[in-house]
Amino acid sequence: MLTVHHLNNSRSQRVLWLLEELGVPYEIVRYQRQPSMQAPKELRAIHPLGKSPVITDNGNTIAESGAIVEYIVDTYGNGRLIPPPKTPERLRYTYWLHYAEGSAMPLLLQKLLFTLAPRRAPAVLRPLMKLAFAPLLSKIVEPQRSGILRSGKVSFRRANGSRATSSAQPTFR
Amino acid sequence: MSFPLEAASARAGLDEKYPKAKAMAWLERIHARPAYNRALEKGGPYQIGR
Repeated sequence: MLTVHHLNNSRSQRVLWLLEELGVPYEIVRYQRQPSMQAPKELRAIHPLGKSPVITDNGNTIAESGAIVEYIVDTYGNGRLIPPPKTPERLRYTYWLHYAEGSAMPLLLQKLLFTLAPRRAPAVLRPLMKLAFAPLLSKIVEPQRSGILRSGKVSFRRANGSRATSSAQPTFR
Repeated sequence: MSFPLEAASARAGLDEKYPKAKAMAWLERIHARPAYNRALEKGGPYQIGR
């Protein structure tokens, strides 16, 4: 049976969601974040990345949310939850699948790190750290933020050559 | 897309100020899905970015 190595409050929640949408039977092995918020080292025994989600199924061990989604949809989807190849819908599906971790999450991570760094610095350094990190937030993160949050206007060429514009309605993923 | 949008709504100021993005409406739609809620029941408490 497919096993989800599930870390609380993590990206593995969306793998459970996909399996529920498809009605695929699975079992959960649970892991808890350490006080530092990092994944526990037991996850490294499953896959060298030591992160969650990771699934095991039929002798395969698969990490990375996008790879897991592709595997599950390929193996158990029977055509569900994925548009046919070579259609504008499929291109949009592929775009959102990669956009989630390729563009959206790095920006959110920058914001988190630039915000946390001064807060976690030794008290004596904190005012200096705030001065150092504030411009990173305002000059690097903020200008991209509204674009990322509003992104979704994506233009595609249809098979007949006309153009279609997709509004920000990601496919379920 | 669920994870980045949920993280954005928790800590990056994604809220009603972004009506054009339709992102909040999309989050509400996925949160209303029975499968999403079954996954939450199985997965346990889910509070990203809080």
